[in-house]
Amino acid sequence: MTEEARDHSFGRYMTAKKAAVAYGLSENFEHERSLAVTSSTAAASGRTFTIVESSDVYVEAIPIGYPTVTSLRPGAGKTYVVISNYTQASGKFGDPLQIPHTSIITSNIPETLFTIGQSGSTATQQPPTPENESIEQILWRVGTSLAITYRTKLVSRLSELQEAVQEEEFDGRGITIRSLQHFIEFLEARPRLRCPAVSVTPDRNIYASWKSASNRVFSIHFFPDGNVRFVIFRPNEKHADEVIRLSGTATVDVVMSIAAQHGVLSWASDERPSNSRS
Amino acid sequence: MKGQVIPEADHVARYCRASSVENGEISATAFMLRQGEEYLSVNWLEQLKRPSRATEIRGLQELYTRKFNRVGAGARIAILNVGALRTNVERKSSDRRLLPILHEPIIPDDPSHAGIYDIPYDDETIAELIVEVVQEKHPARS
Repeated sequence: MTEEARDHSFGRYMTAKKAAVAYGLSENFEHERSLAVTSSTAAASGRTFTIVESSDVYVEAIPIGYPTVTSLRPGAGKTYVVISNYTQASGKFGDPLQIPHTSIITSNIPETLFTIGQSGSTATQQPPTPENESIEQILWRVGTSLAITYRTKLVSRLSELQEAVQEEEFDGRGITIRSLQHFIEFLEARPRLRCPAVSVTPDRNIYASWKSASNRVFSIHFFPDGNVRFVIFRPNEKHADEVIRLSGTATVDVVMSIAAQHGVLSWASDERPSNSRS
Repeated sequence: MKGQVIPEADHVARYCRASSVENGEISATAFMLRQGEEYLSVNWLEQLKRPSRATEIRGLQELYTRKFNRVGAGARIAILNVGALRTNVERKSSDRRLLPILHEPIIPDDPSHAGIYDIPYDDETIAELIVEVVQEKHPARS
C-alpha cells in the first residue's frame, strides 16, 4: 500500500468513526458488547443497531496488516460498516475470533448508515516496521489497537497536533516520529495512566503532562533517542504550604518507576499507588 | 531602547503556538526554547502604547499575522506580569534563578519585541514555573 493510500484509508477510518458517533454511537462503539442506541439525537431516534454474526458477513478485500474500514452489503436493505485491523484477502471469515463481533454494526432499517469506499486488495503488503512507520500509521495503530480507554481522544489530539505543527513550520514537517513512538510505547506499557495533556515542544517532540493542581504536576519530554526529561511537582506532606520540585533525565522504560516513588500515580493514574511516599 | 530592563509592573505577551495549546489551556512547551535560541521572544505590552488591553491584543494579532508563517486557530497570546514571572521563578527554582527580561526591539517591524533570558534549554522546570503565572489568555488570530 502506498503512503498516499494509507493516508486515504486512515482518513476514511476517521470519517467512519465520526459518522458513527454522529449517528448516536459512543466514541468507543467498536468495543461495546451491545450496540443498542439510546441517543436522543434526531438522527438516531427510533433506530436500532444490532451486532452481526461474522459468519453472516461477506468480506471483500482488506489490506494486509492495516486497519481498515470497508462497506459490506450481504443482504438487501442493509449496509454494514466494519472497522477492524482484521486481515483477510476475501471470503467468509475463517476464524470469527479474529474480528470482534462488536466491530460490525448494521442498521435494522433499509438504509445506508454511511458509505465508505472499498480499498483495493494488497495481499502482498507487509505491516510497517517502527523504523519506517509514518505519523498516520502510528495514529491508526493507536486508534485501533492500543489497549487504553482514551485512545479515540488521544488520536484526535495527536492528529490535531500533527496538523498544527505542519502548519506552523515552514518546512511542513510534523511531529518527530521517534518521539511519538516512544510516547505511545510508554502509554501502552501503562494502560492505567490517565489521559495526559499532550503538546509539542519547539523541537517537535512530544511533551505529556498529568496535572491535577499546581502542586501535582508530572510532565515528560520524550526525545527521539528513547531518553526523557521529566518534571515532578508534588506536595510536601510535612509542610502543607511547601511543594517538592524535582526534575531529571532517564530512559523511557524506567521513568515511571522513578516517578512512582514520588507519588505521581495518585493523580496521574487510576491505580492505587503501592510504593508511593505520599 | 535595546537592552532596557522591563519594569516589574509591566507586562509581556508570549505567542503560544497551537501545538502548545490544548482546549485553550497553555502548556509549558509554549515557554521552552528551540535549540540554539538565546532567549524567549515576547512583546512588551506597555511599549505598544495602546490605550487598552483590547487594543494591545489587536495590535499583537496584527503583528503575528505579519510575522509568522501562519497563525493557527488554536494559537493563543499569554499575558504575564514581569514581576510575578521573575518572582515565581526565583522563589521556586532550585538555583533561585532571576530571569532578566529585556527590551529587544526589531526596527521597524517589531519595536515592542523583548526577550526573557537565562532560560535553560535542558530543564523543563522553568517553563512549568512560567506557565503557573500566566495572567490572561487571548486568541492569537483576530
